[in-house]
Amino acid sequence: MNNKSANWMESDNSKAVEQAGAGVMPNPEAPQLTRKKTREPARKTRGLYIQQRHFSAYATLVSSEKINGGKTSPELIEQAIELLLKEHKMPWKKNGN
Amino acid sequence: MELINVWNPKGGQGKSMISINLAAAAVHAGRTSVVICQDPQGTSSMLHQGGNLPFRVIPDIPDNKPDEDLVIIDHQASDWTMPPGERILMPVKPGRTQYNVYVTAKALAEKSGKKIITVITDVHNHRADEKSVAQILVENGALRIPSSVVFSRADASLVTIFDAQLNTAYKIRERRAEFLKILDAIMMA
Repeated sequence: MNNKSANWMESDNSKAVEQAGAGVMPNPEAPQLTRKKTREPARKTRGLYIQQRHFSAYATLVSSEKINGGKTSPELIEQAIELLLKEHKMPWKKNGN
Repeated sequence: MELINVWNPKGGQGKSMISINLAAAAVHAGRTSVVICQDPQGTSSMLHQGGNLPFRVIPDIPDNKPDEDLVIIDHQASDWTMPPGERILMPVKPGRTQYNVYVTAKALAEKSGKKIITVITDVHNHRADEKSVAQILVENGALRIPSSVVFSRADASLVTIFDAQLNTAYKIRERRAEFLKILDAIMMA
């Protein structure tokens, strides 16, 4: 066996344990990879029993928002529901399930 | 469902190669598998696009629990964030600078309570220093995948080493057996 390898491995091992204990990165000044924290909330398709003219107007709005880079269809429906709840003075939690 | 993270902040250690071939080993052993390719380089995804893999490769952790028996997360280089779950498979080449990053990351992972399975990759036996580093790591419980032309052949055809077109490749049984041994180590960890 090559003792030279064993020697530097041992010193690297000791340094690694020491760094881990101190919570120090090998090169702390370097920029760190960051992951995006926000995830889209879980959604599911649910049926609504509504008139055609309401749906047509809504579909037009969705298309317009899409062209202009605005809100998505689920976001618009959620906004409508939140406005309804506010009008009817019903409680609503902004975040959560 | 078993989850294994293939993780090492050092690039070029064989994370994607191991992820893809481990998934294929699971299928060969009668299980189902999926690879989650979390690397912007998209090596695992590229192999999947070749159309020859007997398992899915997806770009991110799904909202719903996958149906597959084995879920393999192929992490990207420079990612020092501690992976989810208990088990981490850390591939490492036996060079000095590669070893240094590996052992630093391993110490952090063990401090977080993770179980580490070390796999030494791309060992050239004619290089005395690499051979000795690999030997020391194996004595400490690491598994080993030697350098082999079958990996280049598989890469060029966008297949895994378990693909039928490599059935007559040089020492293919040994290479496949090494991956099945890694699979067993994961299942027993």
